[in-house]
Amino acid sequence: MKKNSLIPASLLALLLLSLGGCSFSEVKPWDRDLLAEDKMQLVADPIDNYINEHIYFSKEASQGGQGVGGGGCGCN
Amino acid sequence: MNDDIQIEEGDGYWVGRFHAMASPCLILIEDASREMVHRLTLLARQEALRIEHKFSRYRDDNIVSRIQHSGGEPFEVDTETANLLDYAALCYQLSDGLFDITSGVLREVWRFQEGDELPTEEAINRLLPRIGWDKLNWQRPLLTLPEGMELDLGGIGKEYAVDRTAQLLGQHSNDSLLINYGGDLFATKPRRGDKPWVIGLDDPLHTGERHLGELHLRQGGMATSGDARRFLLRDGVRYGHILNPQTGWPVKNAPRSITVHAPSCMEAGMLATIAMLQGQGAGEFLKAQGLPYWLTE
Amino acid sequence: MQLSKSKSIRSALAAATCSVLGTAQAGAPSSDGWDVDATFLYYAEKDRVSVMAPGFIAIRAIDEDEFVTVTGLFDTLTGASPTGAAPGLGGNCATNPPGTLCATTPSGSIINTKAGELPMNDFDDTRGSLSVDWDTPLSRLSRNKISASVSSETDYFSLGLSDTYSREFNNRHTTLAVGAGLTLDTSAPQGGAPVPMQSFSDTTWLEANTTTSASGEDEQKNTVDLLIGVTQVLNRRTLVQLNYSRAMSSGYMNDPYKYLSIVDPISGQTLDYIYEGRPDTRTTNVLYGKVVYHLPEDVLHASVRLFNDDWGINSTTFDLHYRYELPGGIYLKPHLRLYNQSAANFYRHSLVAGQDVLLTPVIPAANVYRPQVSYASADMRLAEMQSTTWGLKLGIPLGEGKQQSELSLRIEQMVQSDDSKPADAIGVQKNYNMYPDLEATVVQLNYSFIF
Repeated sequence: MKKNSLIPASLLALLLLSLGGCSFSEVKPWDRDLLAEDKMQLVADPIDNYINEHIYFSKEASQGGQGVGGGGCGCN
Repeated sequence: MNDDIQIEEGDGYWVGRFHAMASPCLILIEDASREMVHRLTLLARQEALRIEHKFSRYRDDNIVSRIQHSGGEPFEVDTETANLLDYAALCYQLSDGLFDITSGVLREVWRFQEGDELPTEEAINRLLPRIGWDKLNWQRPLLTLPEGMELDLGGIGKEYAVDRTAQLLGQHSNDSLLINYGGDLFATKPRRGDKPWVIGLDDPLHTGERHLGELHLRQGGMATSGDARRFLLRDGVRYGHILNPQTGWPVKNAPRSITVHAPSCMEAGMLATIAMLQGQGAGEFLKAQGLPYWLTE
Repeated sequence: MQLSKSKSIRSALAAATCSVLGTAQAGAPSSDGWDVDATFLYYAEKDRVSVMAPGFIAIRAIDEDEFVTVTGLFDTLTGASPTGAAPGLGGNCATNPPGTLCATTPSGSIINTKAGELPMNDFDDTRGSLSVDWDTPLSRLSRNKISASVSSETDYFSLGLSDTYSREFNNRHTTLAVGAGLTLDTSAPQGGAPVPMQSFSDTTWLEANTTTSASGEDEQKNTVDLLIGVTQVLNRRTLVQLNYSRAMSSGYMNDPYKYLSIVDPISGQTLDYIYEGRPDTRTTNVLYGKVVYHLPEDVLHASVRLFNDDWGINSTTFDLHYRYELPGGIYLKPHLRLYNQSAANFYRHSLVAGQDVLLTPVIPAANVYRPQVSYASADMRLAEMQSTTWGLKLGIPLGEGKQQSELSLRIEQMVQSDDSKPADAIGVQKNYNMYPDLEATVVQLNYSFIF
């Protein structure tokens, strides 16, 4: 467990480092074209996300993180 | 049939007509059933009237009027209005203060319909303190308009209505559509066989000739600034109706008319207006933009 | 004040126009119609469960900036799932000579096991779930979303209600969200819920079995969850999200169809079975972070989730999606997910006779195993495990304007594994695969359209 958790942690660190290059800058309303795109939303594919959550919920001990509620299920 | 709209058959296309924003409005549709044309024209009229009602400065029941009567207090505007104000702010910036939606108060002294009467220098100077985008406070979505100042979205509204209508109708039809609101145009896509829509040009010199020429519009927006019928003559000098908000006087040596073709009608209209405000420099400004334009000196 | 000679303002103007027309379109009362994502899911585990599930998400603007979302999913499950019993010599109640172990579940089905294989329980079930969200602006910077959901199976019913309030700050660069949810679950197992931690040989079970339900009532569970989250626009291309959530459950948490083997301390052979028993409270904590990054064309979604609970489970999830744009609006989206969890502190692959359970004489003349531990479960979902999912999605846009739609196909492979030869295996268990890999394939066809 301890060893395995290092993999995602190091990947996250790598990602944050790669983002370090583009620090915070104010984004004016007319510069929000990219942010407004469907594919740029926090949940870009709601139906895929919904199904993934359903599958992982029924196969693993962990759940939640993205929001509150969500249908209970006898599958777990 | 609805009395507010008329449907006619043109040469290979349908024409839906109605009146809004003090202009004749036309929707040209290539392939569609009469019923579809009727529906699309009704939709277009609904949208045009919605925008007119919302942003007209001649009404006392809309957002513009409420802003006017906000008594110098911060006023919260809706998203659509905020977007337009952001746009106006950027245009003010891009034009170095020449395009200014607070310049409408100049109409109190400049009435272009009433012959050759010019306002006095004094009357104009009295108005200048009430003009200037930099004098109001815009912190989206809060607008603080000092008392005595006015907003006029007329310089954006019609082109905005054209683009919005095109978007709206595009959701309901895959046909080639031409939206024409009083000379501000947008074509959704080329006609069958990649043919353009053909638009007759008005005669800015008012020589009585029916058509000065034709413009071809395949796709995108087109708008014209300048109006041959609205001017003042005094001592042989022709004063156009494009006013410089910084001096309060019409722009000198401005072309009679400028037509610009751009991806959207809003861009076309704004570029034509800002070009006009350059006066003599209009041609040079337009060249730098790298977009098709037609200029009549 | 004239513009400098060759200044082109065209691109700045184009971006501004795009912003006005783009957001006006999203914000204004939209054209009548539902935005529908319809899906058909086929999920199949190797040698175990398979699921067919049609579903949909439909969104509609009911007013300016006010939306209703309806979500539905209808599962049909069939196949076999592990019972929790340990692999052993095997047995068949119908044919085995007397003295060989066999057992029946409360619902009366006979447990037959093949030597060395994980005992499985066949089942079929259908499940329907429906939820409705109502997302409405409260003021210029704040929104509220109310969500209600129901889920129903033959033996399970769940009702959920939640509310999320969000507010934008800092010129709309920062969004703060707080949410709370309540879920009420009812479990009504076929044949009644068994008594937790009771062995099959316990005669009280036989008595209970005649009344069809050990407890005589449906079992309830309720969960309260709370969330606080912040979303930050970092720049024109980057969005980050950080959520903390906490869920507190109390009530019936057992899986009524799962039990454990009681094994001989030397041979490792199964002597009896015992129903699993879990604590009746659970508190979970989740820290979830996500980055969305827009490359020139492509978009990257990366998230990390850290989970722990008071059952001793810790898990880490790393999830990566990359949307790769191809000409013509077509896109490919590879997906990689890495998950690992530690075991619940009461997870046992089997209980050992003489240690965890003692043979106790009861009146009238019988010997039954009585547990010496409060809780135990052999549910593999509570075991230590690693899971890897990788997949690919292909999306193809179709039509224009009102007829605009998108067709997409997603294929994924998930493998769950853990140590198949645990160090604490006893006797014969050392010969068997105590944790066979779970291999699952997901095929999902989506069609998005305006209705």
